[in-house]
Amino acid sequence: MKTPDAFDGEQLLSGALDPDDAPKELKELAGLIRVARAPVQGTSPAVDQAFVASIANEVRRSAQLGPVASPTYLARIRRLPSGRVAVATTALMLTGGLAAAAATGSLPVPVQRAVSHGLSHLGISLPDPQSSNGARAAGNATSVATGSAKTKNTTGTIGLCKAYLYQSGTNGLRSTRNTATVSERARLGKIASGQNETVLAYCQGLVDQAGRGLPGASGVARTKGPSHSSTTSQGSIASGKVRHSSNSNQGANTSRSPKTPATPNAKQSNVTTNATGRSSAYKAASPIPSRHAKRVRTKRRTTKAPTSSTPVKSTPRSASTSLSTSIDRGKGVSTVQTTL
Amino acid sequence: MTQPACETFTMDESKIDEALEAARGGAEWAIAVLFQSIQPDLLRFLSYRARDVADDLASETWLAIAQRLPGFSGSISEFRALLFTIARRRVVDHYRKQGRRATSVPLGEANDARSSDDVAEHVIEAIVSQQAIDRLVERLPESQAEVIILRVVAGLSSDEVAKVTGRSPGAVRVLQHRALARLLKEFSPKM
Repeated sequence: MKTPDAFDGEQLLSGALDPDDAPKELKELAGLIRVARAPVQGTSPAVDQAFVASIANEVRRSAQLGPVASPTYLARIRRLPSGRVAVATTALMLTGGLAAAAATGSLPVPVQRAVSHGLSHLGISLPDPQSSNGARAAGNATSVATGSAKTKNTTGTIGLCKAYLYQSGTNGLRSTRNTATVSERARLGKIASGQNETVLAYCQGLVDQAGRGLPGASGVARTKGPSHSSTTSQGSIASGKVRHSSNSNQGANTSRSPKTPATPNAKQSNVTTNATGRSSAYKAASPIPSRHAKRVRTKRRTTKAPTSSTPVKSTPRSASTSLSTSIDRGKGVSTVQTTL
Repeated sequence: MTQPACETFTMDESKIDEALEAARGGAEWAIAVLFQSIQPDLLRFLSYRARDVADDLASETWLAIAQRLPGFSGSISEFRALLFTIARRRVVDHYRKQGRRATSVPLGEANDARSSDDVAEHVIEAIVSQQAIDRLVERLPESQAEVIILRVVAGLSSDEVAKVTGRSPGAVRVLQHRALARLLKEFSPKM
């Protein structure tokens, strides 16, 4: 069966195709469509004048009002109370800017303190100039550090300062470390210059503050002699206090931590896992060459502690110096303790 | 302004164009002319889609077109296309509110929805016309039937049908071709 082409289709649907002139197969369909589309002559819908009048009124009203626009998103936004939008925007800007400034610690001290206290209730930790000397000590005001991280940084700097002061013979301090590496001295210098101070003045101030018991400075009070070991044994993580004696079996030697075994292996272990995490610095500062140190460790493992010995008065030496000295003497075992 | 009598008004193309121009200003006589010209086809279309509410939907359609009439600029065929577009949307909205799909009804059953002058001869002609339309679309799928109704009853071109139905002109022509093929198969003389 033939399918009407586009032309025939248009002719059919528009009623232009006269059934009499149509092909045989299209005659019936053309007639049906013509009847269907032919307007009913003389029939007009009953015009409801009231309805037509209402349409005319609607047309005139629309002409006066202008084009009818559907409510847009912007229009819905405009319907919001402007005061509410303004308050929300202002609050957002203020809180955002204030938080950013507080995070960098760049606000004035009273404002910084207030913001820090306020946000601490929300679990947000910001630099607080009152509760810690961290901003000054660490010179690390650009970081939003947690309290523990800040304390760790501060105490680390204190340890460096103590090493520096001890090295420079100032304050009669005895540091856990006899030297500071070049990079550490450079770091101290950078921090001190950030505070517009010399390294010496900066470190003296910092250690003095620590001595007054400011946060982050616990257990750094200087000790001379073993009697302070019980207080220092618990906490000076940063100071990494190392005590040494030429003989571990000196009766009721209080300089040794009760947690620390007296065996040489344990001591060696303590040395390599220095609480300051500065074992590499310790090794670098050690005057013993590495090969020699290995031999020393072997020798120390095989050395038995003497059953009795004369207590030797502890002298403020560095651990490495004490270690090498005791080995050279071949007497006893040097005790290197690190309190954790 | 002379207001032509609705009963004696003859559907002249030029008159309709003139009436469309005057209707933009809110002239009642012009609106009455447009109403008489288009309302029968509109009712037949609406009766096919929603017989029970054809009159209501037609009224809503006219009120909706009245709001757009002042800013409308186009020919009468474009006006018809716009009017049937609105009517079709009203049908969709109606069935959306009802929560069911639009269903077509045979036009032969839609006589009650159509206003008439109760002239016996005219009614017979109308019934014949509606029966012809009914026969055309009763076996066509919904989409094809809608295209045929809009082309035959509303007198729209394929491009205008595309605008009304929201389809592409090509899609409308495809639907139209398939509908004609099916109709030809049904109404061709049997050998």
